[in-house]
Amino acid sequence: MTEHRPDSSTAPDAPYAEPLPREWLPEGVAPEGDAVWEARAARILLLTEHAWTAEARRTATPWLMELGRWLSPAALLAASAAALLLSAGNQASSTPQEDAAALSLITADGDPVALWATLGVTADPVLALLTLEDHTAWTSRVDAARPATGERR
Amino acid sequence: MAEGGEPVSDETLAQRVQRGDRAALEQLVRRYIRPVHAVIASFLPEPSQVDDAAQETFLRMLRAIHTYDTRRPFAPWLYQVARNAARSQIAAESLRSTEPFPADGPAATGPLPDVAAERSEIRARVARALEALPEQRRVAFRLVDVDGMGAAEAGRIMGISDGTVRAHVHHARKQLREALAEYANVMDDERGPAT
Repeated sequence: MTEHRPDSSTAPDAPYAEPLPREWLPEGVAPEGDAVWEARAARILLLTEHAWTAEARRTATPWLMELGRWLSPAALLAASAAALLLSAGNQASSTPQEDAAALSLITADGDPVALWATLGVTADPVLALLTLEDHTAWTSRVDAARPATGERR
Repeated sequence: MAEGGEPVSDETLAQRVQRGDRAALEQLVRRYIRPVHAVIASFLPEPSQVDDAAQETFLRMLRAIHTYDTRRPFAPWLYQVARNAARSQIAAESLRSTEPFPADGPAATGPLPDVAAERSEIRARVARALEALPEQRRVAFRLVDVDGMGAAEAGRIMGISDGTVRAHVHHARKQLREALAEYANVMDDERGPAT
């Protein structure tokens, strides 16, 4: 802060207007270091303390709400993690087996032994072939015995 | 006030106030109490009004500190807060009373010796002429010629260059001299060592 007297840096160069006599001007604020500033500062700080406390009280939230707000992201994260784990567990228990059976049927490519193997039966090649043929023959017989749609009319 | 010999900047202190540091608030109040009074005094004639508006300024500063952008200079921001507080005070006063500001001031209280009466009359004229100045010109004149601040410091507070402050002061002096032309002879007599 500067001293309590007109600023010498504004002293006139040629066209610069001269200051008015000091006696004509209003009273200036007291100089820095004056005791009056200490008292004023103390009063202002007291006022700001009240405002500070009131503001803090106004913006404060109940602890339970604060805890809930703090916990909610954690709870959401935990629920997501649990759901993900369960879903992954289900997939791990069912999907590979089904996929394996479907793949085995495809790769069996009509081989009776391989077809029985997809059902977990280790079949004798001849018996497996006979069973398959017998099933095919039986299906053909049933189809032959069934009346054709056109004959009924 | 200083950390490791370096004075803490206004902006750093304001940032600390934003974080709830009361010691930083105290430093800012002590640092700016005098400039704030000087700025407000350029709007309000009564010392008691100036005190009230200065208190209001610091209260407003505290309430609005979260809106202050610490990348920008603090002093002009506070200057605007002080300016608004002074204007609110003027508005409140005008609502409270429709009585005009006494034109003759102390001269109305009783007979005075001739010289004192004349000086009092001139001061009242100066006060009225100051009220008629544009705001920035009036504030610059008040800070520099009345409160003795340097042009650079006044510029830092007002958020303008020191050259602009000097220009404002020059025009204010000129305008006041024109308003007080009839006292030119007294002015010559009273021009003392300060000029």
